[in-house]
Amino acid sequence: MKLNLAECFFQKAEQQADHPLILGPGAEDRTSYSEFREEIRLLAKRLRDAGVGRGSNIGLHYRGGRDYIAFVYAIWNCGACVTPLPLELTVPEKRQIFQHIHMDGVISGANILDQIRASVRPAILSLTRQAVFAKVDTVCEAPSHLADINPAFIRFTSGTTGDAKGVVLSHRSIYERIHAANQVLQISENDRILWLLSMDYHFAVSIVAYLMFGAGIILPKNSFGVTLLTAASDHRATFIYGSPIHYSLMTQDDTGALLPPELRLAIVTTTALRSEIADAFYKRFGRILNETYGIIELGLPAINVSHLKEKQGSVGRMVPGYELRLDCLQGQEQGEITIRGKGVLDAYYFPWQSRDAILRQNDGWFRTGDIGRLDADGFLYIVGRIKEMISIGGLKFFPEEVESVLENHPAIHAACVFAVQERQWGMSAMAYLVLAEGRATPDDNELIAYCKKYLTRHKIPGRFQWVDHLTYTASGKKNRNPEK
Amino acid sequence: MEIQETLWNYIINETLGGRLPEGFDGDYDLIDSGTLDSFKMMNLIIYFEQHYQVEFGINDIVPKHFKSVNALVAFLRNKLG
Repeated sequence: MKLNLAECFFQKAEQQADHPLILGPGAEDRTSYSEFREEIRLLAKRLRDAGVGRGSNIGLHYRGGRDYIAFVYAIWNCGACVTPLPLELTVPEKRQIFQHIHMDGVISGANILDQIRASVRPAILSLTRQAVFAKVDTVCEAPSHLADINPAFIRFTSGTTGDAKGVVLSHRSIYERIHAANQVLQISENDRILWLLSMDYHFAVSIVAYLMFGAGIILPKNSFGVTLLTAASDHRATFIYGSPIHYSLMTQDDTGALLPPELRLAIVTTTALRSEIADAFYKRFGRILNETYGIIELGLPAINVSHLKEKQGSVGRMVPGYELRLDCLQGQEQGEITIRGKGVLDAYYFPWQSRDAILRQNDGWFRTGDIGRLDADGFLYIVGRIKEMISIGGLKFFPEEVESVLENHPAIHAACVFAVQERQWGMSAMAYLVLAEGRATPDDNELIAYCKKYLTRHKIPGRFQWVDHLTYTASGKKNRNPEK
Repeated sequence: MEIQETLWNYIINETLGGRLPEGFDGDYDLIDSGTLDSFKMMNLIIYFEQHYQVEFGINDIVPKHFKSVNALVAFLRNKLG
């Protein structure tokens, strides 16, 4: 019988039926493991009645929260796979996912169904008071090998080369990566985890682990510093999983609220942690933040649980089960991070590339595209990225996607988009633009209005600067550090 | 366009998806009602920064400034001097 993560959760719910699973958003709001299991079973029955079954792929177009978790597990309980449709994307960006990933149906918030209406059939089934299910007007076929790998999750990403790619994760890969990470995290039924990230991007290694190992998940109402601290305190959080901005917001809170004494780990992910934020957090709460190295293709291969001030800035040692190789140029101590180990992605969806084919390109090692160095104690430091992902308040995107939109504007000959650390609370995107010959220079408002037609708000550059020409690196790539 | 009108349009169209909840007015509680979740709040800040060329500091991101449309308007006016 094939491994199914929903079955793993059901077994855990059998063992600890009354244990709280969801805590919040109110101080008294609680859902136990057995209550949640029954919700999942009911939803799964409705989905099966609607035709969802083994081999189906279901889009999930719904806000993060307890319902989102229930929908994912209900889909898995039907033997189907989940493809998130992040809400922040624009209508054309969502349409692009439908064009590249075969989906049989979609669960959507009833009030936001209009955003994907063009891709679904008119017949709508009411799933809950706020969610509907609709079948999809299929425009592409699933890859022939997809069913062989027992897929659980397909995360659509726009790749660094401009090719669309979906990262495919099987139930087995997710199972392996969370068990590997838990050798370090040691999550158990004694943990209550304050969850602050997007479920569309951070489900497979984190939420699944909490349900697998019997922890409780604290869901706060919003991300204001005082709200996060109150939620952590009310529910006696032992663990926080957030991005730098969340820790920054907690630090600036002026109500005097403290973190609960039970707190044992404060994990930082999504983007590099600036030392000012780490220092301010330490000063305010007396705690070292736990930096990690998370990557969708691999899971969490490195975690810093040293709690040592002198190791601040490091993503820690490699988690057991993962091996690191730095591909350094001769004479250099830093190089591209390549990793092999548990739970490596099963495939890229479009164009299809199996795990073997991906790893074969580099002697069995996965090339991350990040540059790192190791210290004498084996702690890994990320010193640069080949893939210049930009993260704005925890929302990520690749600059190539924005550049291709800008370069389609008739007045723009070439564009280079890059991150600048200009806000107190994180990055902002900036674009260098080269004017097309014979064209008048459009003003910023016109460019913003143009971008808004194709890009979700956080991807639109905060500043545009017209330059005579772009600069390029020795290897001919756009120089995305032009201000250095 | 006046700040108030711009903000009303943004909240109604981009935050509420064009559907007004019952009793919605300038004092409607955007936080307790769950209207401004963390993602919508982040987008609203990015919108302000782009539209008004103002920069938000970390100390600006507190509930009292985001509690209602009226609170947001007052905060923005103050920020813009």
